[in-house]
Amino acid sequence: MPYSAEISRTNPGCFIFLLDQSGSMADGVGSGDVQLRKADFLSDVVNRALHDLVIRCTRTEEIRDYYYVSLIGYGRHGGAVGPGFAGRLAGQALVKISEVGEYPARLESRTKKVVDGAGGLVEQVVRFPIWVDPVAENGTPMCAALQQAKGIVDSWLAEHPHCFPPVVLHITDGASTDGDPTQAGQAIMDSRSTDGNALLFNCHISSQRAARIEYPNESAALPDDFARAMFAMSSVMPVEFRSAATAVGISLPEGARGFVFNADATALVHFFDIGTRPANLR
Amino acid sequence: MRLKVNRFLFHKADAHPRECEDAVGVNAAAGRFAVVDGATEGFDSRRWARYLAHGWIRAGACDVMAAEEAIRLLGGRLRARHRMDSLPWYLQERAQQGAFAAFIGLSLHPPGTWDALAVGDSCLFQERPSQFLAFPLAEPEHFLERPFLVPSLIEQDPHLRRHVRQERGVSLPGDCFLLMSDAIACWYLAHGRCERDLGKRLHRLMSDDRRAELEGLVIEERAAKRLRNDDVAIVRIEVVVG
Repeated sequence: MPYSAEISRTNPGCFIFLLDQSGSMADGVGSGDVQLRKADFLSDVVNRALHDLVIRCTRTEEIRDYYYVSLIGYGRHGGAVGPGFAGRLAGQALVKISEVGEYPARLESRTKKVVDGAGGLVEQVVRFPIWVDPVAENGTPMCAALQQAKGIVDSWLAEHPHCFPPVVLHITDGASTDGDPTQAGQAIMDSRSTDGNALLFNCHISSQRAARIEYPNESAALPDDFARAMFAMSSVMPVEFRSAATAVGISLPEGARGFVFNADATALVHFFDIGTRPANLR
Repeated sequence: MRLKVNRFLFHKADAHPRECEDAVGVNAAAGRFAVVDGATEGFDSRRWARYLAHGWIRAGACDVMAAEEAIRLLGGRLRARHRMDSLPWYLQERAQQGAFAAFIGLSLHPPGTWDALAVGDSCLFQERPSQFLAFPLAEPEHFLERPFLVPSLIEQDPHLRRHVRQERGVSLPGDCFLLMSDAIACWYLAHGRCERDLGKRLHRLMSDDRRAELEGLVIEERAAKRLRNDDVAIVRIEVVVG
């Protein structure tokens, strides 16, 4: 059965976060009183996702290397594509989860509201590790970014032929400026381990108040060619990920693709929750 | 009441023995036994499992209130060991969540009765030729659920009492009690008990204390994908005839 390989230290998994850091990411996301730049919100969500992966791999006194993580930004620094880690991990294409845990660029203090045990909420200061900073510059070289991800996927598969297939989580807010990305996306999905094809999940975030479309199983209802192209290069979600969706209250139809169009802030958080949760971690 | 007791502890495949988070407690003189399965996701769950196992076999009571008080004390002792300021951020977070463990404790009383207390999916089986009792789970399918576990920070988790299960019964000479952590308990219900030759082989290996061969059986069953790759803890208690 595909997508059933156990994820362990001897057979680790691989996540690749592909982040649009183009100029339009400076636009706002959210509504009402809460207005954030998309780039700021995305970096917060990615930092949170990395934090959760580290915590999930922390077993007793250590972080166990169940995962390797790649973070690729595109658009930034003159329209380049490259590793997106800040701090000591800067420039590294693929990093063990134990190193991610050991070397955040910095620890910030944030506040969160917690139940006070007396029917109310109190603010609690928590440490929030930062690995990626918000960037919003230049164009959207999506094809080049997907090709770079494909290179990492193939190198990984050559070294781990029986692994749970690599998962690429791609977040963008607009159309590619270096050509049609469909072929580059398909090339990722064609790579495979003995446990199944690599998975490419796409999330399109929007500043518009447009109807959100989450995890569709057909393209007929999609509004335009861009959405249909993103749908075509999104993997069908294996059952483990569909279970993760159910856990956050999203019921997915049979054949649902890992694709969200016009995502708002909540949908983006769910996208990461679902996409980083293959269930068979030992 | 004469008892013949054997205990076994095997770590997961591909793991270091020091990573085994199951614990067993045996105090044959007092007739108290425990199997505790520390949750890998918790912080210092291995030590927590040992604390609970040893706490049970030294205690005298077998009721929920006494158990709650003991957990509070043991949780405090565990917390006192942790120097939070010296921990990196990820261990601090884990430590703030505490440790968790599934627990099964058995207390045998001289006149021929027993009490058991369970939280989570570690199990007790009582066997005699005409009778089989499984507690708290009796079907392999029940092990798929994510169970409630004994928290080390009981103050943060006030629902413990709701999840404590109690059972009691009569023991006769010739009875065999098995305490098992979840993976091996699930396997026992699905295979070990139902497949006659396999069950006989298992009991023979346990009774004769043939540790290496028993570990071989565990490895075989894991390889056959019939036994989940998890730590294995077993305490076998036979009430000796005569």
